[in-house]
Amino acid sequence: MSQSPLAIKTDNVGRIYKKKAAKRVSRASSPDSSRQLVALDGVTLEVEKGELFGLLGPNGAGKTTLIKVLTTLLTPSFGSAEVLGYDVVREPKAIRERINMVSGGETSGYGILTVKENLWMFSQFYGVPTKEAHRRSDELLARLELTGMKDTRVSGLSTGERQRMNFCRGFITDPEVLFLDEPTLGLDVHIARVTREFTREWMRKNPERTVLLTTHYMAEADELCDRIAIIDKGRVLACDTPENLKRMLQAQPVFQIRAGGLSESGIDGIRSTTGVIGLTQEFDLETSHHSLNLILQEESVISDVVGAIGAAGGKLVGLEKHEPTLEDVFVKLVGRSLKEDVTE
Amino acid sequence: MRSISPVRLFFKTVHARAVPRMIGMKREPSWIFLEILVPLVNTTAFVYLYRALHAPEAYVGFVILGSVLSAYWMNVVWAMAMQLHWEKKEGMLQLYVLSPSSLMAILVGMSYGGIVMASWRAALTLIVGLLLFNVHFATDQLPLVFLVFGVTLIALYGLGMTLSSLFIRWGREPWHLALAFHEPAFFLTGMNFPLSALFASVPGVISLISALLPISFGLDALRQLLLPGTIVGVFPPMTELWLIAGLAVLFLTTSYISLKFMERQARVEGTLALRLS
Amino acid sequence: MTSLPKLHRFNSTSLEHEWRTFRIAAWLGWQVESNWTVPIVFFIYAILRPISTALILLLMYIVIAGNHRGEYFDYLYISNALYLIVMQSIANMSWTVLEDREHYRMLKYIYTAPVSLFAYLIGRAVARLSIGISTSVLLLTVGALWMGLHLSLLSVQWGWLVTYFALGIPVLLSFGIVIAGLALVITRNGEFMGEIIASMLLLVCSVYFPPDILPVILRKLSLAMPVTYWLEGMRRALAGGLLRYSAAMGGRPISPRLALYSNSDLAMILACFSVVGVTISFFFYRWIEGVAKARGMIDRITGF
Repeated sequence: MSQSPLAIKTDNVGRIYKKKAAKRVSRASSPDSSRQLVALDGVTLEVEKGELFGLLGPNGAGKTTLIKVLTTLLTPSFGSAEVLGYDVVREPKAIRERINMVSGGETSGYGILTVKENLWMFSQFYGVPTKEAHRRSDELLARLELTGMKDTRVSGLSTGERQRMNFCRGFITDPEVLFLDEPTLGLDVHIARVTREFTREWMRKNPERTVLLTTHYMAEADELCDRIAIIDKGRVLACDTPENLKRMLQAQPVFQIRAGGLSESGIDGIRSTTGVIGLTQEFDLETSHHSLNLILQEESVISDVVGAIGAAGGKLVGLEKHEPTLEDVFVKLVGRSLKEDVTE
Repeated sequence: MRSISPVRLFFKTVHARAVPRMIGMKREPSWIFLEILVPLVNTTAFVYLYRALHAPEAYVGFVILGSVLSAYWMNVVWAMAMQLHWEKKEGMLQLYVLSPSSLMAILVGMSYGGIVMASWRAALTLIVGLLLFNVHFATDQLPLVFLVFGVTLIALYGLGMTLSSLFIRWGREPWHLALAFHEPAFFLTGMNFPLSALFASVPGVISLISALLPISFGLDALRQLLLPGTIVGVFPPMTELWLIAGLAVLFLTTSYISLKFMERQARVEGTLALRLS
Repeated sequence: MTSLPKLHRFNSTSLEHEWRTFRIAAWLGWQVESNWTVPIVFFIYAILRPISTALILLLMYIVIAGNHRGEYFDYLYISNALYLIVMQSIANMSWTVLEDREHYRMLKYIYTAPVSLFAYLIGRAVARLSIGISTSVLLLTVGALWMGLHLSLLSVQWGWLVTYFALGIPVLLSFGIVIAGLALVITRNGEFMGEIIASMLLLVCSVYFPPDILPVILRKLSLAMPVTYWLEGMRRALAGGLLRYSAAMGGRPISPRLALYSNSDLAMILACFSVVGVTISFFFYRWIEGVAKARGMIDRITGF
């Protein structure tokens, strides 16, 4: 086993998709930008062993591309990346012995096999002894509330049940580094909570194991992750603990305003008020009120905002100051809310 | 997990990947219709054609032996060459690549299940030939017959593994390519007529392509050994055995290289996880 | 609510609408069949398999009969070319249903659209049928030019050819519709229904050999199949008359049993099969569609 203290290390790693076969290119070269897509643009990260590390980003930010590079499914176009001290390009085999991955929404599996047979089959590709594989699958299935389905053929499972089976598949090989790419995507609230609890429990029982998690759910990232990297357009915008990230906004007050009678142009007017750093909005169909979340340069700006609401023909219904959330940090860094995105 | 030897991991993977095929055969017996009934009916049609042409009865034996080997050919094309494409389509290929096992082990596992399936079909074809059409095979050189048969299968499945990496590069709708391997291959391998008739009628380059398909000389040698005196082989059976052995070495090597190449290219191009629809 | 412009309003019983569905389905069928590759590859692919089968038959014939092409070769070659049309119309319609349901996953949307599935299926089948007919013509041309097939434009009985063709196509499509209906309710391996039926037809419909040499049960089955009569009629029309064994082999008709029927008899038999076939297939399809709906098979993914 590698003596590297780091589970994951990337150094200026990037990935460019070309219409034709991609080649490893130097960043210094200037390829024709109209025929390429920069999915990952020089990401530098260090994840220590035992960390539950989160990647937050909107659609197309490069989260899944980074996971593909780290899981050796995709060669980087430039830069370097290591998992457990092994280079993703030169030593893929050493990495594969030590990792596993679960993708959200993944419904793979042989329909003709039962849940338990599918899990056993995958465990064999990692050399897990059969007896141990059965013990682990029983444990995982019980934990994910799938015991009753263990002898059901995969073709007879619902989409959510298939996802849960794949979640078990990720853990059955007891990987040193586990990549969870949107693991709770599409799961119902209860099962999503069970998977989160299980992940935390697994990390607690196995303090040397590392998880890299991508998610759209702020609360999930806030609840689970030791550290979070916010990524957009292939670049890391910030990387710290959730608390430290939120502390970034301590000097900048966050207000929530509810107002009626606002038009889109009126909201644009509020957004352009001097001193407004970030604004996200939601519309409540029931009350016909807009809920505006504002990050301000300083507290005194709020009076200008209230004035702008009046000028736009809106009626103030409620106003409150609150502690910054990860969502606010995200809005400040990316410029829009994650809620405005759908799955990547 | 991390301490397992590569050889042990290879065989564990072969076993694990063979199991779904075996279970599938048991749980979905409808394959019997497709894998056995259709080929048997087609074989019977060719038998009657020879009878309608008033051909010597030995030709019925030719057709039966051709049908036996065609079972393995079909299995190689559909259950092996096409398999990586299907796995990719179902999102499984990336999980295989992600695992420490080799793709070769996974393909060997698939082929093991496939060989069992094809053997059922081959055995039934032989039984029908012997009982229904009264074919008589010579049995005095059986060890050599089994040797030729075994080496032919190794070469054939080596070719299948090479084709699987070729098919996956084809992209969309590769079953068109698979279908194009039916009749042309049946023609080039002399599945229903003596290979010498083909070699005498076609340009050298076609004969060369034919010689590269392991079934051609395998079938020609088996016909000479099991139906002696009825046909003139292209070469004596022993020479053909050496040629097939050469093909086995060649295709096992090309399959190893091409699978490695396919995986590397797919990682560079980012197509391993692509779902086709 | 404001009404839609008249142009966009559907009247599901109107012939015009059925025709539109048919036309669009035929266009879609052609796109699905041909646009997976560049035209030249498609052409090679479309002709490669039939030519290979023709070459197999040619070599089988040569190893027995030598290089002289007797009328049996014409029988064999013409039947094989026409069998392509049978395959495309009968075998592939079931494939269309399953391809739309499971691969493209569009059947449910077509089903819920205000179109007739029957017209849609016929439209899709026409694309395949046109490919079958073109390949068949190409194969006959290749045979006449390079393989020693006795076929000349002057000797073809054009009137009978058109008659048999026109009477046979509805029979073939009806057959295809029935198989497609069955494929709709079969959970696994349904996509191979067509292949299974096509191979049975190869055995019993006088494609490579006359029904006379089959065992009694299969012979009776052969004589109950419309395809047997269609192939016989088409063979006669293309070859310019009844096909016979060479003088050295007695000079008797290749199928004494089918030789009992005159051209008019064959046309009459096919006309009867056409009427019965179309009627049965229409009602059968409506019934089986109901079964599929009751079992929830219209949008079932069986994962073939």
